[in-house]
Amino acid sequence: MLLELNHVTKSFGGVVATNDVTASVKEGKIFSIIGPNGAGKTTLFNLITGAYTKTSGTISFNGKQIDSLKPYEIHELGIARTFQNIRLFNQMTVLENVMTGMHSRIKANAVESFIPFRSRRIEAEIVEKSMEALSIVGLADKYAEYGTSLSYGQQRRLEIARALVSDPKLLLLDEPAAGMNINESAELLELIRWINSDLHKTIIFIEHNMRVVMNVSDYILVLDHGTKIAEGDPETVSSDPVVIDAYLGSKKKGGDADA
Amino acid sequence: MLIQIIVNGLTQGCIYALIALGYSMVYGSLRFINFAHGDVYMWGACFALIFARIGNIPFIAALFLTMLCTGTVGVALEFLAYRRLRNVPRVVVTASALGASIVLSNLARVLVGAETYAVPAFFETKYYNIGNVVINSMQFALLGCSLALMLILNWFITSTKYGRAIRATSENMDVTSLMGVNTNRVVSITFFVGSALAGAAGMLVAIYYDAVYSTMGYMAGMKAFTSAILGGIGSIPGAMLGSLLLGQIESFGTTYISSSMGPAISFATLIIVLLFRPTGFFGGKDASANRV
Repeated sequence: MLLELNHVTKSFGGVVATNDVTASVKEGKIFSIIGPNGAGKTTLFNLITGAYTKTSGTISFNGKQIDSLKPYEIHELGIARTFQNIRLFNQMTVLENVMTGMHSRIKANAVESFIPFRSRRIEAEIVEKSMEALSIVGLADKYAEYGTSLSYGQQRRLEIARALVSDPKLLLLDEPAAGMNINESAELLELIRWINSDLHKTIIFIEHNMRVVMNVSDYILVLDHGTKIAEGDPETVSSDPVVIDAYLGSKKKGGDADA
Repeated sequence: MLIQIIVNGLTQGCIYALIALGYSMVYGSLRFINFAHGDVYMWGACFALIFARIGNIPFIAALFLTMLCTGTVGVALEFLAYRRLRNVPRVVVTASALGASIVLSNLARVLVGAETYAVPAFFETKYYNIGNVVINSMQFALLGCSLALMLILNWFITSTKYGRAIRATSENMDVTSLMGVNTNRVVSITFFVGSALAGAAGMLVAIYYDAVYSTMGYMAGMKAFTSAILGGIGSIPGAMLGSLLLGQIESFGTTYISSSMGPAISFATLIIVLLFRPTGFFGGKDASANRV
């Protein structure tokens, strides 16, 4: 197992955002997390990446316990993510955004930046890898632009490039297709499949669109109010009455605006 | 006459710039005003005095050592007085900064002394007449060093790995950390660089005016802080340009209005500019820029 969550709980004061969730992600798979708004999906990402500290339980990655590590240490081990609300560095160019994701992959300290030739070689290597990542998501020609001048879909792909550039073992995508039109999201799905099959990245992704999830996932975890209510392959999950009631049911009532 | 005023303003402006950069960089990453920064500058003057008294240290080596020492003071300052206060209201950190300022200047009074000290010369002063402008070798050293340091800083920030990390951290520390950057180390580097520049300013002023005293950080710090606000705090080019502007305003103001009104002119300028542009010249994007 690449990632294992063991009875993970996170509460904010009296509110339990993640309640006793146990799950494991197999290497090489596309693993989806679904659930209504406020189900605790993004909280789970924040726990895995170290943005939040768990209240109880354990999280381990590649056999190593990571739930008390700092975010940058977890990133170094090979977990990179994107954000539900796009979090690009707006005062940096597209290329510089991706270059930031390479920080932990280049072992050079601040003093080395002042050694003339060494510095140039470090920068050249970062630029090369970053341009590769931009090509993968189809943004290589936009490298000199600022993130703010990109379309919504392009900004989401830029976030994927920034995560991919560090060559992570596990890629966490938080609603990568949100706000995209049908064509864009179809292209994105192709890209995600390709990253999984050709770059051999294990992917966990959060998605609202059931059709997308059923289409692309190897395994699905369903959350509701912070609790795991179902898990399994798409077939099993889509026919589970509890899931239909909690997730699809609420959609029929018009309760889930984002779906 | 006019050119002489401009050259004097440029000299003063460069000094403000070296100090203002530290205010702006720290504000950029931690969103508070490090009021102890002026005292780090004063310590730069003290270290310069110490190295000058030891003697036989070349000017450039002394400058390098001074920057290393004040940079270390800055890193220690952040570690001891600010690091544990990351997630408290900004006013608390600002109070800690004011306290640190008093500690640093008192330490100088105890360790270095309470008087004004003359600085043994690192090199012989020569005077150059260019047209009808008189520039001495001190002024040349000051202008040359500060311009060189600003160019190096600009290069460091725009084209190196840690410079990029500093910019990313100032935009969003949490996201930067999730992208694999050890933001605590980045903050330490920010303090080191800002404090090293302030130390360089302290040394250059110490030899230019031939005077070192333990309270010299207060007014210089306030003026540099004003410059940083004028340029738009958090912005590095803003700090440089705001400082050069303030240097000129002071130089012209003291020549044509009143020589004893220097500080009053500076702060009146600040108030007037803030009335029309509350975020300074380069601070348009950050609405919280004038909220200390």
